[in-house]
Amino acid sequence: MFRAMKNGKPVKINIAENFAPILGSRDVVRDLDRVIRKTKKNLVNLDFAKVDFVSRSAAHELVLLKEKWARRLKGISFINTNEDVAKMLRLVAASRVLPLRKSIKFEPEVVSIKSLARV
Amino acid sequence: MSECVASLAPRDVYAGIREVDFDLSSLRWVSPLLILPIGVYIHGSDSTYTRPLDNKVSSYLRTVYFPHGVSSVVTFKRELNYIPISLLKRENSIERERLASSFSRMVYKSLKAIPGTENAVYYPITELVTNIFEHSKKDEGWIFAQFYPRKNFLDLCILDRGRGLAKAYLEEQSLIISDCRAIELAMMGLSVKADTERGYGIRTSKRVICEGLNGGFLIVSGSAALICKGKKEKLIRLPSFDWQGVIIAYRIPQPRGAIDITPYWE
Repeated sequence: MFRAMKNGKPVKINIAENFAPILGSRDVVRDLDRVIRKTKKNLVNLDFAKVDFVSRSAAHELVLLKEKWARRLKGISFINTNEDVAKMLRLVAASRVLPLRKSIKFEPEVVSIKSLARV
Repeated sequence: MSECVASLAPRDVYAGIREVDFDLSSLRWVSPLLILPIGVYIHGSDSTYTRPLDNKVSSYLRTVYFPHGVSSVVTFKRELNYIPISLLKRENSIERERLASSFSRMVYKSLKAIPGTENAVYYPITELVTNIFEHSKKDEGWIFAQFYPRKNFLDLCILDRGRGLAKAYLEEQSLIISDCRAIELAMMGLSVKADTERGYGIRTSKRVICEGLNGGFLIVSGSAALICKGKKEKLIRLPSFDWQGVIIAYRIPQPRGAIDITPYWE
Protein backbone atom coordinates (compact mmCIF):
# COMPACT_ATOMS: atom_id res chain seq x y z
CA MET A 1 0.00 0.00 0.00
CA PHE A 2 2.69 2.49 0.92
CA ARG A 3 5.31 3.59 -1.57
CA ALA A 4 8.63 3.13 0.07
CA MET A 5 11.99 4.29 -1.20
CA LYS A 6 14.31 1.37 -0.72
CA ASN A 7 18.15 1.11 -0.86
CA GLY A 8 18.95 2.64 2.49
CA LYS A 9 17.16 5.94 1.98
CA PRO A 10 14.40 7.02 4.34
CA VAL A 11 11.04 5.45 3.78
CA LYS A 12 8.56 7.99 2.41
CA ILE A 13 4.87 7.98 3.23
CA ASN A 14 2.68 10.12 1.04
CA ILE A 15 0.02 11.51 3.34
CA ALA A 16 -2.48 12.85 0.77
CA GLU A 17 -2.35 9.68 -1.29
CA ASN A 18 -2.51 7.17 1.52
CA PHE A 19 -4.66 9.08 3.97
CA ALA A 20 -6.41 12.29 2.93
CA PRO A 21 -5.65 15.76 1.53
CA ILE A 22 -7.11 17.42 4.62
CA LEU A 23 -5.86 15.87 7.82
CA GLY A 24 -8.38 16.61 10.53
CA SER A 25 -8.67 13.80 13.01
CA ARG A 26 -6.40 12.34 15.64
CA ASP A 27 -7.58 8.85 14.63
CA VAL A 28 -5.97 9.04 11.23
CA VAL A 29 -2.65 10.04 12.75
CA ARG A 30 -2.93 6.96 14.96
CA ASP A 31 -3.42 4.94 11.76
CA LEU A 32 -0.26 6.55 10.43
CA ASP A 33 1.51 5.54 13.63
CA ARG A 34 0.59 1.91 12.96
CA VAL A 35 2.10 2.19 9.47
CA ILE A 36 5.32 3.68 10.86
CA ARG A 37 5.53 0.86 13.38
CA LYS A 38 5.61 -1.64 10.51
CA THR A 39 8.51 0.05 8.71
CA LYS A 40 11.96 -1.31 9.44
CA LYS A 41 13.75 1.90 8.44
CA ASN A 42 14.97 4.27 11.13
CA LEU A 43 14.16 7.34 9.08
CA VAL A 44 10.65 8.10 7.89
CA ASN A 45 9.70 11.06 5.73
CA LEU A 46 6.07 12.05 5.97
CA ASP A 47 5.39 13.69 2.61
CA PHE A 48 2.77 16.44 2.86
CA ALA A 49 2.77 17.30 -0.85
CA LYS A 50 -0.86 17.94 -1.90
CA VAL A 51 -1.99 18.13 1.72
CA ASP A 52 -4.11 21.29 1.88
CA PHE A 53 -4.58 21.58 5.60
CA VAL A 54 -3.80 19.96 8.94
CA SER A 55 -6.07 20.68 11.90
CA ARG A 56 -4.65 21.72 15.23
CA SER A 57 -5.71 18.39 16.73
CA ALA A 58 -4.06 16.38 13.95
CA ALA A 59 -0.94 18.57 14.18
CA HIS A 60 -0.80 17.95 17.94
CA GLU A 61 -1.04 14.20 17.34
CA LEU A 62 1.68 14.44 14.66
CA VAL A 63 4.01 16.25 17.04
CA LEU A 64 3.35 13.62 19.73
CA LEU A 65 4.05 10.91 17.16
CA LYS A 66 7.36 12.50 16.17
CA GLU A 67 8.40 12.76 19.82
CA LYS A 68 7.39 9.19 20.56
CA TRP A 69 9.42 7.78 17.69
CA ALA A 70 12.41 10.00 18.52
CA ARG A 71 12.50 8.32 21.94
CA ARG A 72 12.63 4.98 20.11
CA LEU A 73 15.44 6.22 17.88
CA LYS A 74 13.34 6.48 14.76
CA GLY A 75 13.51 9.84 13.00
CA ILE A 76 10.30 11.27 11.60
CA SER A 77 10.50 14.25 9.22
CA PHE A 78 7.69 16.34 7.82
CA ILE A 79 8.52 17.18 4.20
CA ASN A 80 6.88 19.23 1.42
CA THR A 81 4.52 20.96 3.82
CA ASN A 82 2.73 23.99 2.45
CA GLU A 83 3.07 27.25 4.35
CA ASP A 84 -0.11 26.80 6.39
CA VAL A 85 0.64 23.21 7.36
CA ALA A 86 4.16 24.23 8.42
CA LYS A 87 2.72 27.13 10.45
CA MET A 88 0.29 24.84 12.24
CA LEU A 89 2.94 22.26 13.08
CA ARG A 90 5.29 24.96 14.37
CA LEU A 91 2.55 26.55 16.42
CA VAL A 92 1.65 23.28 18.13
CA ALA A 93 5.29 22.37 18.72
CA ALA A 94 6.01 25.82 20.17
CA SER A 95 2.92 25.71 22.35
CA ARG A 96 4.05 22.32 23.66
CA VAL A 97 7.42 23.70 24.67
CA LEU A 98 6.13 26.99 26.05
CA PRO A 99 2.34 26.97 26.56
CA LEU A 100 0.51 30.26 26.46
CA ARG A 101 -1.36 30.43 29.74
CA LYS A 102 -4.21 32.84 29.41
CA SER A 103 -7.06 33.23 31.83
CA ILE A 104 -10.13 32.87 29.69
CA LYS A 105 -13.21 34.81 30.60
CA PHE A 106 -16.50 33.60 29.32
CA GLU A 107 -19.52 35.46 30.58
CA PRO A 108 -22.47 34.96 28.28
CA GLU A 109 -25.75 36.69 28.83
CA VAL A 110 -28.25 34.16 30.18
CA VAL A 111 -31.55 34.59 28.38
CA SER A 112 -34.86 32.79 28.26
CA ILE A 113 -36.01 30.84 25.25
CA LYS A 114 -39.06 33.11 25.07
CA SER A 115 -36.86 36.13 24.43
CA LEU A 116 -35.48 34.41 21.33
CA ALA A 117 -38.91 33.84 19.89
CA ARG A 118 -39.39 37.61 19.95
CA VAL A 119 -36.15 38.32 18.03
CA MET B 1 -30.49 31.11 13.91
CA SER B 2 -32.31 32.34 17.02
CA GLU B 3 -35.63 31.53 15.38
CA CYS B 4 -34.42 28.02 14.61
CA VAL B 5 -33.50 27.42 18.26
CA ALA B 6 -36.79 28.85 19.41
CA SER B 7 -38.63 26.55 17.04
CA LEU B 8 -36.81 23.53 18.43
CA ALA B 9 -37.93 24.15 21.98
CA PRO B 10 -41.43 22.70 21.93
CA ARG B 11 -40.21 19.40 20.57
CA ASP B 12 -39.14 17.07 23.31
CA VAL B 13 -39.01 14.02 21.09
CA TYR B 14 -35.24 14.04 20.62
CA ALA B 15 -34.42 12.97 24.17
CA GLY B 16 -35.65 9.41 23.89
CA ILE B 17 -35.47 7.01 21.00
CA ARG B 18 -39.03 6.62 19.89
CA GLU B 19 -40.68 6.55 16.56
CA VAL B 20 -42.14 9.82 15.42
CA ASP B 21 -43.79 10.92 12.22
CA PHE B 22 -42.29 14.27 11.30
CA ASP B 23 -44.75 16.31 9.32
CA LEU B 24 -42.62 18.28 6.87
CA SER B 25 -45.51 18.92 4.48
CA SER B 26 -45.65 22.67 5.07
CA LEU B 27 -41.91 23.28 4.78
CA ARG B 28 -41.04 25.88 2.19
CA TRP B 29 -37.42 26.43 3.09
CA VAL B 30 -34.97 24.24 4.94
CA SER B 31 -31.64 24.91 6.55
CA PRO B 32 -29.01 22.42 7.77
CA LEU B 33 -29.78 23.27 11.41
CA LEU B 34 -33.42 22.38 10.91
CA ILE B 35 -33.09 19.38 8.67
CA LEU B 36 -29.99 17.58 9.92
CA PRO B 37 -31.18 16.90 13.51
CA ILE B 38 -34.51 15.65 12.12
CA GLY B 39 -32.76 13.45 9.54
CA VAL B 40 -30.39 11.99 12.10
CA TYR B 41 -33.26 11.33 14.48
CA ILE B 42 -35.19 9.54 11.73
CA HIS B 43 -32.09 7.56 10.78
CA GLY B 44 -31.50 6.41 14.33
CA SER B 45 -35.05 5.66 15.40
CA ASP B 46 -36.87 4.30 12.34
CA SER B 47 -39.13 7.31 12.50
CA THR B 48 -40.98 8.46 9.41
CA TYR B 49 -41.71 11.77 7.78
CA THR B 50 -44.29 13.29 5.51
CA ARG B 51 -42.69 14.83 2.44
CA PRO B 52 -42.92 18.56 1.86
CA LEU B 53 -45.74 19.53 -0.48
CA ASP B 54 -43.46 22.08 -2.08
CA ASN B 55 -41.86 20.21 -4.99
CA LYS B 56 -38.62 22.16 -4.85
CA VAL B 57 -38.09 21.45 -1.17
CA SER B 58 -39.05 17.81 -1.59
CA SER B 59 -36.68 17.39 -4.52
CA TYR B 60 -33.91 19.17 -2.60
CA LEU B 61 -34.28 16.76 0.31
CA ARG B 62 -33.94 13.83 -2.09
CA THR B 63 -30.89 15.43 -3.71
CA VAL B 64 -29.08 15.86 -0.40
CA TYR B 65 -29.85 12.26 0.60
CA PHE B 66 -32.22 13.18 3.43
CA PRO B 67 -32.55 11.52 5.89
CA HIS B 68 -29.87 8.80 5.75
CA GLY B 69 -27.02 10.72 4.09
CA VAL B 70 -24.01 9.31 2.25
CA SER B 71 -21.10 7.58 3.88
CA SER B 72 -19.03 6.74 0.83
CA VAL B 73 -16.57 9.07 -0.87
CA VAL B 74 -17.51 7.65 -4.29
CA THR B 75 -21.19 8.54 -3.83
CA PHE B 76 -20.29 11.93 -2.40
CA LYS B 77 -18.13 12.80 -5.38
CA ARG B 78 -20.98 12.05 -7.80
CA GLU B 79 -22.82 15.05 -6.44
CA LEU B 80 -21.70 18.18 -8.20
CA ASN B 81 -24.37 20.73 -7.38
CA TYR B 82 -25.41 20.13 -3.81
CA ILE B 83 -23.45 19.11 -0.75
CA PRO B 84 -25.07 15.91 0.50
CA ILE B 85 -25.73 15.06 4.13
CA SER B 86 -22.60 13.16 5.10
CA LEU B 87 -22.48 10.33 7.59
CA LEU B 88 -19.01 9.85 9.05
CA LYS B 89 -18.24 6.50 10.62
CA ARG B 90 -15.60 5.69 13.18
CA GLU B 91 -14.94 2.19 11.82
CA ASN B 92 -12.86 3.25 8.82
CA SER B 93 -10.96 6.37 9.78
CA ILE B 94 -9.22 6.78 6.41
CA GLU B 95 -12.48 6.58 4.45
CA ARG B 96 -14.02 8.98 6.97
CA GLU B 97 -11.10 11.38 6.58
CA ARG B 98 -11.46 11.31 2.80
CA LEU B 99 -15.19 11.94 3.04
CA ALA B 100 -14.63 14.83 5.44
CA SER B 101 -11.93 16.18 3.07
CA SER B 102 -14.31 16.01 0.10
CA PHE B 103 -16.98 17.72 2.18
CA SER B 104 -14.62 20.51 3.27
CA ARG B 105 -13.37 21.06 -0.27
CA MET B 106 -16.92 21.26 -1.60
CA VAL B 107 -17.82 23.79 1.07
CA TYR B 108 -14.77 25.84 0.11
CA LYS B 109 -15.68 25.66 -3.58
CA SER B 110 -19.27 26.65 -2.87
CA LEU B 111 -17.91 29.82 -1.26
CA LYS B 112 -16.30 30.62 -4.63
CA ALA B 113 -12.93 29.26 -3.50
CA ILE B 114 -11.38 32.64 -2.71
CA PRO B 115 -7.65 32.06 -2.22
CA GLY B 116 -6.55 32.68 1.33
CA THR B 117 -9.82 31.50 2.85
CA GLU B 118 -9.08 27.77 2.84
CA ASN B 119 -7.83 27.73 6.43
CA ALA B 120 -10.83 29.64 7.69
CA VAL B 121 -13.17 27.17 6.01
CA TYR B 122 -11.28 24.01 6.92
CA TYR B 123 -10.32 24.85 10.52
CA PRO B 124 -13.75 24.66 12.20
CA ILE B 125 -14.94 21.68 10.16
CA THR B 126 -11.87 19.58 10.95
CA GLU B 127 -11.76 20.51 14.64
CA LEU B 128 -15.45 19.98 15.24
CA VAL B 129 -15.55 16.67 13.35
CA THR B 130 -12.56 15.26 15.24
CA ASN B 131 -14.27 16.26 18.51
CA ILE B 132 -17.14 13.92 17.72
CA PHE B 133 -14.87 10.89 17.52
CA GLU B 134 -12.72 11.94 20.47
CA HIS B 135 -15.53 12.75 22.91
CA SER B 136 -18.99 11.55 21.93
CA LYS B 137 -18.38 7.82 22.48
CA LYS B 138 -20.55 7.23 19.44
CA ASP B 139 -19.43 5.68 16.20
CA GLU B 140 -21.19 8.13 13.91
CA GLY B 141 -21.06 11.83 13.23
CA TRP B 142 -22.96 13.93 10.71
CA ILE B 143 -22.17 17.02 8.67
CA PHE B 144 -24.24 19.00 6.24
CA ALA B 145 -23.93 22.41 4.61
CA GLN B 146 -25.74 24.60 2.16
CA PHE B 147 -24.62 27.79 0.46
CA TYR B 148 -27.37 30.26 -0.37
CA PRO B 149 -26.17 32.25 -3.39
CA ARG B 150 -28.92 34.90 -3.19
CA LYS B 151 -28.35 35.48 0.50
CA ASN B 152 -24.59 35.11 0.16
CA PHE B 153 -24.09 32.97 3.22
CA LEU B 154 -23.31 29.39 4.06
CA ASP B 155 -25.04 27.37 6.78
CA LEU B 156 -23.31 24.36 8.20
CA CYS B 157 -24.35 21.85 10.85
CA ILE B 158 -22.25 19.17 12.57
CA LEU B 159 -23.77 16.84 15.10
CA ASP B 160 -23.63 13.60 17.00
CA ARG B 161 -25.98 11.51 19.11
CA GLY B 162 -23.39 10.75 21.75
CA ARG B 163 -23.19 11.38 25.46
CA GLY B 164 -23.21 15.19 25.28
CA LEU B 165 -20.96 17.65 27.09
CA ALA B 166 -22.29 17.35 30.66
CA LYS B 167 -22.00 13.56 30.66
CA ALA B 168 -18.54 13.74 29.10
CA TYR B 169 -17.34 16.02 31.95
CA LEU B 170 -19.00 13.70 34.46
CA GLU B 171 -17.42 10.54 33.08
CA GLU B 172 -13.95 11.93 32.35
CA GLN B 173 -13.49 14.60 35.03
CA SER B 174 -16.08 13.56 37.67
CA LEU B 175 -17.75 16.95 37.36
CA ILE B 176 -21.45 17.04 38.13
CA ILE B 177 -22.65 20.04 36.17
CA SER B 178 -25.65 21.29 34.23
CA ASP B 179 -25.81 21.39 30.45
CA CYS B 180 -25.42 25.19 30.59
CA ARG B 181 -22.28 24.93 32.73
CA ALA B 182 -20.88 22.23 30.47
CA ILE B 183 -21.20 24.54 27.46
CA GLU B 184 -19.51 27.32 29.45
CA LEU B 185 -16.58 25.06 30.35
CA ALA B 186 -16.20 23.90 26.74
CA MET B 187 -16.12 27.54 25.62
CA MET B 188 -13.47 28.28 28.25
CA GLY B 189 -11.30 25.58 26.74
CA LEU B 190 -11.52 23.00 29.52
CA SER B 191 -10.90 19.72 27.80
CA VAL B 192 -12.91 16.69 28.72
CA LYS B 193 -9.60 14.84 28.58
CA ALA B 194 -7.01 15.28 31.33
CA ASP B 195 -4.41 16.48 28.79
CA THR B 196 -3.82 20.22 29.33
CA GLU B 197 -2.75 20.66 25.71
CA ARG B 198 -6.26 19.94 24.53
CA GLY B 199 -9.57 21.73 24.69
CA TYR B 200 -8.96 24.23 21.92
CA GLY B 201 -11.33 22.86 19.28
CA ILE B 202 -14.71 24.35 20.08
CA ARG B 203 -13.47 27.65 21.46
CA THR B 204 -11.04 28.48 18.68
CA SER B 205 -13.51 27.32 16.02
CA LYS B 206 -16.10 29.68 17.45
CA ARG B 207 -13.53 32.50 17.37
CA VAL B 208 -12.60 31.76 13.77
CA ILE B 209 -16.28 31.72 12.79
CA CYS B 210 -17.44 34.78 14.75
CA GLU B 211 -14.32 36.98 14.67
CA GLY B 212 -12.45 35.77 11.59
CA LEU B 213 -15.39 35.11 9.31
CA ASN B 214 -17.91 37.48 10.90
CA GLY B 215 -20.40 34.64 11.26
CA GLY B 216 -22.82 33.25 13.82
CA PHE B 217 -22.25 30.17 15.96
CA LEU B 218 -24.61 27.91 17.86
CA ILE B 219 -23.95 24.95 20.13
CA VAL B 220 -26.68 22.78 21.65
CA SER B 221 -26.06 19.99 24.12
CA GLY B 222 -28.73 18.37 26.27
CA SER B 223 -31.13 21.07 27.35
CA ALA B 224 -28.91 24.08 26.77
CA ALA B 225 -27.80 26.22 23.86
CA LEU B 226 -25.32 29.00 23.27
CA ILE B 227 -25.77 31.47 20.44
CA CYS B 228 -22.89 33.74 19.47
CA LYS B 229 -22.88 36.55 16.94
CA GLY B 230 -20.13 39.12 16.90
CA LYS B 231 -19.38 39.83 20.55
CA LYS B 232 -22.84 38.83 21.76
CA GLU B 233 -23.06 35.48 23.53
CA LYS B 234 -26.41 34.22 24.76
CA LEU B 235 -26.78 31.12 26.88
CA ILE B 236 -30.23 29.58 26.93
CA ARG B 237 -31.86 26.79 28.91
CA LEU B 238 -34.21 24.78 26.72
CA PRO B 239 -36.79 23.52 29.21
CA SER B 240 -38.70 21.11 26.99
CA PHE B 241 -35.89 20.08 24.69
CA ASP B 242 -33.12 17.57 25.23
CA TRP B 243 -30.68 16.70 22.48
CA GLN B 244 -28.74 13.59 23.35
CA GLY B 245 -25.31 14.57 22.00
CA VAL B 246 -24.03 17.84 20.56
CA ILE B 247 -25.29 20.00 17.72
CA ILE B 248 -23.06 22.72 16.36
CA ALA B 249 -24.28 24.99 13.61
CA TYR B 250 -22.83 28.11 12.09
CA ARG B 251 -23.53 30.65 9.44
CA ILE B 252 -20.77 32.50 7.59
CA PRO B 253 -21.09 35.20 4.97
CA GLN B 254 -19.25 34.61 1.71
CA PRO B 255 -15.69 35.86 2.25
CA ARG B 256 -14.68 38.78 0.06
CA GLY B 257 -10.96 38.40 0.38
CA ALA B 258 -8.16 36.53 2.09
CA ILE B 259 -8.64 35.89 5.80
CA ASP B 260 -5.82 35.37 8.26
CA ILE B 261 -7.04 33.09 11.01
CA THR B 262 -3.64 32.51 12.59
CA PRO B 263 -4.36 35.10 15.35
CA TYR B 264 -7.08 32.73 16.61
CA TRP B 265 -4.85 29.68 16.71
CA GLU B 266 -3.55 29.06 20.21
